[in-house]
Amino acid sequence: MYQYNTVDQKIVDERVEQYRRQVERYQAGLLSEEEFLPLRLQNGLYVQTQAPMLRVAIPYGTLNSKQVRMLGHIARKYDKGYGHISTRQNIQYNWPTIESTPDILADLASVQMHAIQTSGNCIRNTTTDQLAGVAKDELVDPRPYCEIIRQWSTFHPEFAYLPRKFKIAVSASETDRAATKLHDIALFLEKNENGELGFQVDVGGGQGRTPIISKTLYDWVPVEDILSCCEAILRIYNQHGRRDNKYKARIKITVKEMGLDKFREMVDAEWAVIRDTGLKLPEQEVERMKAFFPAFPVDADASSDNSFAAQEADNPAFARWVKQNTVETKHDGYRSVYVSLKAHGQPPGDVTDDQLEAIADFADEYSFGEARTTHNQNMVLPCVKQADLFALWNKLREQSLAMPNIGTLADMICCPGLDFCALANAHSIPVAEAINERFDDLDYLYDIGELEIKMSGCMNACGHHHVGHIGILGVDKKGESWYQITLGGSASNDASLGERLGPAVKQEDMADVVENLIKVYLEERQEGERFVDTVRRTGVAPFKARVYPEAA
Amino acid sequence: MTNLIIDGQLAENTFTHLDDDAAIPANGDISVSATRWLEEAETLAAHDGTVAPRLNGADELLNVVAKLHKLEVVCLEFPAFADGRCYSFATRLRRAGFEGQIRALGNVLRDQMFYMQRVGINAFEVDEGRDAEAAIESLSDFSETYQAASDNPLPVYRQA
Ligand code: SF4
Repeated sequence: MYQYNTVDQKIVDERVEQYRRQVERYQAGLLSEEEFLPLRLQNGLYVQTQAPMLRVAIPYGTLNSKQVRMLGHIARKYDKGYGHISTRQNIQYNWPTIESTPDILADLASVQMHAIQTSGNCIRNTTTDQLAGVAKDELVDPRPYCEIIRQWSTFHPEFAYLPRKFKIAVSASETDRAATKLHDIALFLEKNENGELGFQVDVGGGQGRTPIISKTLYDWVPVEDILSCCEAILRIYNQHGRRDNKYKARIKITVKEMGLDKFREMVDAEWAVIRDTGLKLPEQEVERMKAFFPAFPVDADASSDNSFAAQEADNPAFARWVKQNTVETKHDGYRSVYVSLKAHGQPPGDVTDDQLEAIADFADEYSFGEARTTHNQNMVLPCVKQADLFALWNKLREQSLAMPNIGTLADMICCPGLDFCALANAHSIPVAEAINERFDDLDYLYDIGELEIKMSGCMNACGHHHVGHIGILGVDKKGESWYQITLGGSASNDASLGERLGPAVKQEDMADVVENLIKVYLEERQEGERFVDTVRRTGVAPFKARVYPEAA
Repeated sequence: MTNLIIDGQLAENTFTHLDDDAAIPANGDISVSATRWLEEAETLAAHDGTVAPRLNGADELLNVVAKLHKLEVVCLEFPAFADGRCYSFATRLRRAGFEGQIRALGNVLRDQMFYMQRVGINAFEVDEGRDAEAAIESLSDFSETYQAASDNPLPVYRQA
């Protein structure tokens, strides 16, 4: 993976010192609350209900074992012993003090990490496929391109005070695993008819109050022009995005109000001026970056091992885990292992200091020293030899990291909600727990099959509820948590927004409601249909009739 | 004490920033709003002293770009430090070949000045009540930069 050179290291170190001085000035009363706000935000620090929250960047979700270990160390030393993997592949700490944040950032810098631009109205962490580099269905490894975008967007002097936050995602695989179409800029690596590599460039996707699926701005842009293209888009947005209303400030609204054609015309004009400048990305630079992401040095005979098949045959629980929590890679005899952070009784995406340290050890022992975070709030050991899976499974089980529930109803996305987030309208973690308790029979979960439940504690939609097969949005009704439900959303290639089922329901009824939805699906489904397929075929009507019988 | 920094040094401020209804003084350096600068172009051409157009992010920059060769100073006004439109204006002015002074006015605070400098702003009227001398330090917060900007056309990722 990418290794900082002296320039990267110096920039990050100097950033820590700059931030340390800012904290000192803030504490000395030389910086007002309002002035300190964007400075701390661009260093990842929010002020939450209970304490500050520090969001640490995990560029495109890739970590080495040393970094994972450091994340564990930070959880132990500065927090209450755990962190939370967010839907943007970052990690959040809920309990640090403001005074300790410069030290945390200095610790992070020692392993080439930071919290830069994880918040604020700037270009955020670029996200991608958690299986990058090993996925069977991938055209190329997207990470070299992500790293180039990271360097271009980090501390971009012109785009630190945009109308609103700005998110870029890159997908390079047949199946989009990064919810790419829900980003301000969505980049799809593709080949044109001459076999040359480039990007389909989409703009204006996003969630929040006004969810919109991105629209294609350019069908194909050569790799060498991708940065000038992005810069042109950002420059138009910076000057024309609305600054009068926070809820209309994202680029999706700029594009919507202006119209895609007019927006494209403006970008075209700007792009023409900057296309042949220093932003040009020569092939040798891409090659240089690619060299940081070599294929894992796998053992060519890995698939000749027989122990794996025997262990699967002997041990149904192991076989079940393999089927549910691992996927084949492009290397014969190696699988990617999802480390489930969705154990019962634990908020989705939470991971403890001990678990992080264990994951770091597993990465070293079994997965070429690498781990990943996913937007579904799990982690991944990207490349594990099949002969090692049984041993790894046993070790993961000891750490409660082997719940065989990836992709099932129990693999919910859930934002921190009212328990931690200052913006929340409703609880989300207790609802996830109630649903989990109701569906604790694994065989039942497997029968239900692939099902994405996504839950947010308010309109900001950090829990991606618009694109959940079942989306749950918390609303506040006279101080109580109620929930609006949508059905049929998807964040993948067939991205779509869920349809509203009906009036909000009470917190204590949520498990019943989900159970009813599942029953309707099991009655209605046809051969091979996933929940979302059935909803798309039947519409929401049969589901609605069951959940709101009085209205029928 | 002066609140003006030019090219990293404290400097005496010779400019008066005129409101649209203020009378134009007999002489001396002045800035006027972009609208007034266009409307009263002829009168202003005869003014004894430097005349700078003063833009905020809502103004049309192209009007100024068309006459850049006649200008020594362009003022960019930041109504709030979080309003980033003028960063793009500065980039576009430098790109158009402007070598004169680009001066930031308004809610100009030291924590934004490093970025302002990178996009090509070289003069800062630091917001009232702030220590301009201390603010100079922030211009050297970083010794390296990643991307191409007005101050450095080649980004770090182009090392070949
Ligand atoms: S969706 Fe709302 S409640 Fe949940 S984390 Fe985001 S802002 Fe907080």
